[in-house]
Amino acid sequence: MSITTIICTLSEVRDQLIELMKDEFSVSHEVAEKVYDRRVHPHFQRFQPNVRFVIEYPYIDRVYRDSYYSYFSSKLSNYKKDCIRLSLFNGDVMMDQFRDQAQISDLRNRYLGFMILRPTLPNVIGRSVISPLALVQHDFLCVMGRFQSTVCSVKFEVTGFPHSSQDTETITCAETSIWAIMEYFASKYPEYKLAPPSTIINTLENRSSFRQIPSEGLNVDQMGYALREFGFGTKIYSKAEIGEGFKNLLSTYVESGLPLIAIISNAHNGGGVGHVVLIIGHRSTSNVKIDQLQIKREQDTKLARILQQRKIQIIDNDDIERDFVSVDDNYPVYQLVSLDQPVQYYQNLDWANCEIIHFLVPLYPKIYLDALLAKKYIKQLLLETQFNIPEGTELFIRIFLTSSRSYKDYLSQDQSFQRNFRAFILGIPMSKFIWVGEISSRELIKQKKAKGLIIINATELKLINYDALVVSGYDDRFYYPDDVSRELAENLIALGEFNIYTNNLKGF
Amino acid sequence: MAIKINERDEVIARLSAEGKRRIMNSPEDHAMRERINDYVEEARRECIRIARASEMAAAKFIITS
Repeated sequence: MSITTIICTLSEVRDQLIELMKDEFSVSHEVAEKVYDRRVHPHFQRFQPNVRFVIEYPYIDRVYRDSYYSYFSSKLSNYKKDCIRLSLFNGDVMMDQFRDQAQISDLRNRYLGFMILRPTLPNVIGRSVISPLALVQHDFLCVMGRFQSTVCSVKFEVTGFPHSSQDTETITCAETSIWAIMEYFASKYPEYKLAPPSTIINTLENRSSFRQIPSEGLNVDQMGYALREFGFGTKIYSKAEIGEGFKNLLSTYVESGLPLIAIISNAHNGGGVGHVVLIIGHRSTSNVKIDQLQIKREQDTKLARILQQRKIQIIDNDDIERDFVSVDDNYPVYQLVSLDQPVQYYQNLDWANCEIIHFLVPLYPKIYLDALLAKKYIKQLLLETQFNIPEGTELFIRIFLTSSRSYKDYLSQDQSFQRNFRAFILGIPMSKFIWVGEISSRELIKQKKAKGLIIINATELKLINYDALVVSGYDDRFYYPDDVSRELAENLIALGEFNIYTNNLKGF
Repeated sequence: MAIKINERDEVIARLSAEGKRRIMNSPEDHAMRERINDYVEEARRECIRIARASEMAAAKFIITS
């Protein structure tokens, strides 16, 4: 047995893969053709025309081997163990380049990721990480990890979000979404570990009264349990309970750079669909979208009353009608969808009319203050504290969670902040995660600038007596709880305008 | 020679010296604090209710597709 490599273009890949699937997966030409056209081609048709493929086989894929040894090998039928690996490059690739030290760095710069084809027909798309740059349409922002792979024995690294189709036996959409979440977090933080299918099944063993494989899906409670076992302090939000602010809340977590698990259903139309997609980012914010942003009625009656009394209006970044980036295991990665019709790309009308009914947030376990309460608190501080906000002002607010390390790193290098204000913030001891509220205006935010800032300690749930407040500033003053008296200290400094923080999604 | 730097304390000292810093401990300031305290306590109770209701509503929903 030896490894064979094929290098081909987008127009050549169909013939190559049909032949390869026929030989390697032992299926007829007709079956291979149908699988390619229905399951593989939809992924490739979104690629840039200059994408080149390096196809290698046989390939041992760790995720498929896990399913194989824990399930497929127990069947009588002869399931294949090996996969086919496709590596993607921008522009021409020659075999000699992989053996020339001088040309390898050029190849690394042009590497666009990999896709595994596994012998689980017709659902052949296995573990994949594709760079958004491989796609024709890539004007979106999303969370991404860095994943190592090899091509022709040379190490490469791709930045993207993990994706796989479900094999419908060891993994359905519920398990696939947990697997992808864990692949992502394990690629970013050493405290999280990978969760191949058998690990998910074993983790849920004590939480299941019935047989687990072949998988018949999971309930939301089991998903929450699995994520908790894998190290998260998971939160869940239901549309029925949150009401009108549901999309706004979901957007806040996306802006915080967290991949969310969205539960999709058409139960409101009397249907029986129960599906899961991941929401990992959104389309870049255009000036047109900012101009179109409407002032929404404040849901909280007390805040609404203060807004009315002070004749101030607030427009919220999370109310911008954007497309969001989803990862659906029945479709190619990075779908752009509206939150009102999150699976509108399905041909089946029952599916196309589904809506998000719940979403799960895999939070770091020591983030005790959630978005719902943090947003209310930030708005309350903004309106109650004696900031100099004239009557008739329309404020634009942008609220997100981030790590204090990332925030301070950005702040330490950003020259747009008032020097003393910046030095003051950098000198404050902060919790590992913080909630940040940036206060801007409709015009200022188009320049990616703000003139106010509220930072809250995300590990403090006790919000009374300013215990969770780190610092708040707007226009000509800033406040913080005095170290000795714990009373608020008011400081008069013209803060000016400063750059907004864009590290969570690497853009705005 | 070792150098000791505390930029935050330096900013506070400078603002105090220039008369641009005050501790907000007037009756009006305390009233503002109490208003915020009352609001956040009520908001927190509401958030806990929503969280529990969300958990219960979602728990038994089965994802199969």
